[in-house]
Amino acid sequence: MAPDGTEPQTGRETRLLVLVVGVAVLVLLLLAQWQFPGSTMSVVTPGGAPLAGLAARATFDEMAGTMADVIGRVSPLTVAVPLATILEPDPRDAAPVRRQAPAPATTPDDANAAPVPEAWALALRVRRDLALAYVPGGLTVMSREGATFDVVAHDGPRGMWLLRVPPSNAVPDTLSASVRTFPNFSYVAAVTATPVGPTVQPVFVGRSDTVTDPGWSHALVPASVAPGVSPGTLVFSLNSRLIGIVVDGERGPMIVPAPAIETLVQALDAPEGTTP
Amino acid sequence: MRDVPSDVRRRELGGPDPIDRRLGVPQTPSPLTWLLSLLRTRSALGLAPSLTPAVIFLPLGLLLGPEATGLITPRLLERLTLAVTIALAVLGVMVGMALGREIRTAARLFLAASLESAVTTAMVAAAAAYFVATTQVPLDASLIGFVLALGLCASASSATSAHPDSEPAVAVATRVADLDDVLPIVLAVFVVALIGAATRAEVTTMLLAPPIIGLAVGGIGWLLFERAESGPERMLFVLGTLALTGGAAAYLHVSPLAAGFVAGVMWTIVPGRVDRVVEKDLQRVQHPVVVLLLVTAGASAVFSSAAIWLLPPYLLFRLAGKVSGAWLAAPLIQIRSSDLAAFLMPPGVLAVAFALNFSQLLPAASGQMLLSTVAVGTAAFELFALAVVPHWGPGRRE
Repeated sequence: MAPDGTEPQTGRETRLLVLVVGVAVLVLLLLAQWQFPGSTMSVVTPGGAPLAGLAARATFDEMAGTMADVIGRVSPLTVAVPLATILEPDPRDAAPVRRQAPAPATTPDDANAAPVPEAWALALRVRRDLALAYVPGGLTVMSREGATFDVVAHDGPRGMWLLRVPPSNAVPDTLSASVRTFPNFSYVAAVTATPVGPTVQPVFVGRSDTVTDPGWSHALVPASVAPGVSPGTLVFSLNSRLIGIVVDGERGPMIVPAPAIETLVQALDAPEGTTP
Repeated sequence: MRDVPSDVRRRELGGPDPIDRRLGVPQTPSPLTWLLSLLRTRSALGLAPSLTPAVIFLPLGLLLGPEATGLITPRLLERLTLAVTIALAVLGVMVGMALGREIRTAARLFLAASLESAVTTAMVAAAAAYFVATTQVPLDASLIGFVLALGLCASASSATSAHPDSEPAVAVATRVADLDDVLPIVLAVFVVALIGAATRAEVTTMLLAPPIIGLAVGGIGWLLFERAESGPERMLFVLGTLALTGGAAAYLHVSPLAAGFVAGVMWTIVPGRVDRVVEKDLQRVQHPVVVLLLVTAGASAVFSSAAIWLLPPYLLFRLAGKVSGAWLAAPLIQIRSSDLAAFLMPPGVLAVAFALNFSQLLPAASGQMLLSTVAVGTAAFELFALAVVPHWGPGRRE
């Protein structure tokens, strides 16, 4: 022991230190030769603040949180599709046919300019690369930057278009996990398209009486039971299961229930493209 | 030959006495109890390594967590966040009280411990910064804040794998391991401000908040604890005060460890027996707190490629940092550096506590990466210590 009360280091201790540090540095330099294989960090759900669970929340806050949850789950199941005015005969007048995607409505003067959509439709993914959209009469689907939409099938009388869309990573269970019984006296989520993506608002369904329409395989629900919904709106339950699509019918806007949509998709996707 | 009744044969000569009859026949130990008692006996004799809580509860948490059986769901983990925050404050109080008592008589030990932890922090942070920058590991947080947080997690030590009475070196190493958590807790205040503050005003708030919370809570405890009229009332005051510490720290997004640490130091300094009162009551919650932290950390660990990528430099440079720190600190406290380094190998629950603390404050992906790396590293070092520490156990003398 040294006179000042400290213990001097022996050669063995120093050799041990040099060995450990040397090996660590050497291995670090070797490992640093490789590049990290991933380019992005894994997506995780951000954690809430530690006290957030204890804080009192207003009812409207809960509804807002529910809507945010619905739009977060539903957005990957939808595709915003731009619509343009067609310069050809109304497709409602024609029988269901398969054809190529119509070209965007442009004139020679603005051929070089990017076409501006007249409106937006929200297509519902029914397969990995197929989506179903309701397109009002007088409008047609146009492609947008970064996404090309090919028309797989078109049901003119009902205004339903089956589109080939950029494929998603996951197989959507939109139809298989849909709501089979139309809810009444409950809130639903009405999802519509905007130029920047889908948006959602809560709508109260007061009644669920149905009306029979010979054009559809299942009974429809008048959209007036859920005020504020317009044709093209996708209706989901608060746990993000599909309830139906709002279409424009002879007796006003109607909510087409999910089973009817499933039947229609099977018909449109069939080899001959026949409708029920 | 007369047959001896079985109950007599297995008891003392002369058969059961009146006391035996009143107490009844002793229960045959279950195989699990027998195995545990055998393991404890062999551990006490130095014939087998002692299992530490981290070796048991980190894998258990992983097994119960969303990555394995899913018994602990992500929603439950989210709800446990507040309990974890309060548990961190409890740990901070414990470290603060340990410092408050030791600093008066062991300033040299404190200096050595701080030197060792500073060296470990610097080495791990430097190695991690070089590795992350060179290999382009994606980070959604400040690089400096992240690597400093990793370094602080690495600096924690716990010399609980050996019995403190076995030899003088063990007692010194144990006290160093207790005191080397002080500097990281103080530095964590600055790292948290570096991570979470966006403006100069926020930096000031995040630097001042932990000592202010700690002093306020310490004052409240000082005024309340000794005036309690009964044990349960006092316990209620203690737990309420700790909940206030954790809650205030969580609300302000600052370190609950630091706030609890300041309160713990204050309770040992102020006149009276407040520290004894708190210590007695904390003994009841100490073990549940450790289990809660370890199981939560295990369940929260996500073995992403980034976390596994970061593990080798963490393990290597924590080892190198501890050896280097011990080499520099050992001459100050009259102990061989190899002895000190060996006893500083197990990170203990404090490393996991630091990781949980930082994971609450870092962006989600970086927080998960840090927590997973530290959790796996802690389990690895605890296992490594099982092999290393018994060599310096009972029986060896200078």
